[in-house]
Amino acid sequence: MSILEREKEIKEFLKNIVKEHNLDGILLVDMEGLPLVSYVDESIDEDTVSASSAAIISATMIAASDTQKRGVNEIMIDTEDGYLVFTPINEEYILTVLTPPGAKLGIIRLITNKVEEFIESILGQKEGKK
Amino acid sequence: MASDKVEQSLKELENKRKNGEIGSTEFYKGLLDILELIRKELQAEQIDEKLAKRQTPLLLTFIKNQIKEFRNRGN
Repeated sequence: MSILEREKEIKEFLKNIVKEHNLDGILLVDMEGLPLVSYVDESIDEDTVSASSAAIISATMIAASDTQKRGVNEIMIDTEDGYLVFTPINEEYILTVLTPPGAKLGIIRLITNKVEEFIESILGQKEGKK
Repeated sequence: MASDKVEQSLKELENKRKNGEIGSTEFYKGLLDILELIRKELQAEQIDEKLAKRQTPLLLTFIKNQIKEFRNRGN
């Protein structure tokens, strides 16, 4: 709810990061796979990427649990055309970062942290109002 | 019990596929039949919110892909 209330602000934030770092896109998705806010290349189907982001997180959590591993911090898929990085936020949201080929993983992690902090600050503000 | 029934159906189907009695398409359609069995059982159950939340994305991805595939086949 609070994410959608601040949709414009978050979208602007994501847009600036995508442009600054020349990414293919960033999506913020809920744990059920519904898209919340995103800024992605026109060729990318936001709806299906959102659903598959949550499915990947969900399947990974099941695999982690089946192998007695706790928590999933990050999932990184390395493709010939760049990385797909999925990061759960607050057990409620998923941040999906799509990069072109040759992206540096260290930079992607810094970007992920920056977006995560921004989203958490928004969620924190909401909690403070209650 | 639903778990025994679904497990038994799945084992039989998997064995048929492993032995080469059925191909990929038949295996896939057999899995869809098992999903139908699961659907019936789940409708009668009180499902926990947390469990539903965890499994929803897998179903959503499957359904969204089916829509795409249908469209690609002109259906």
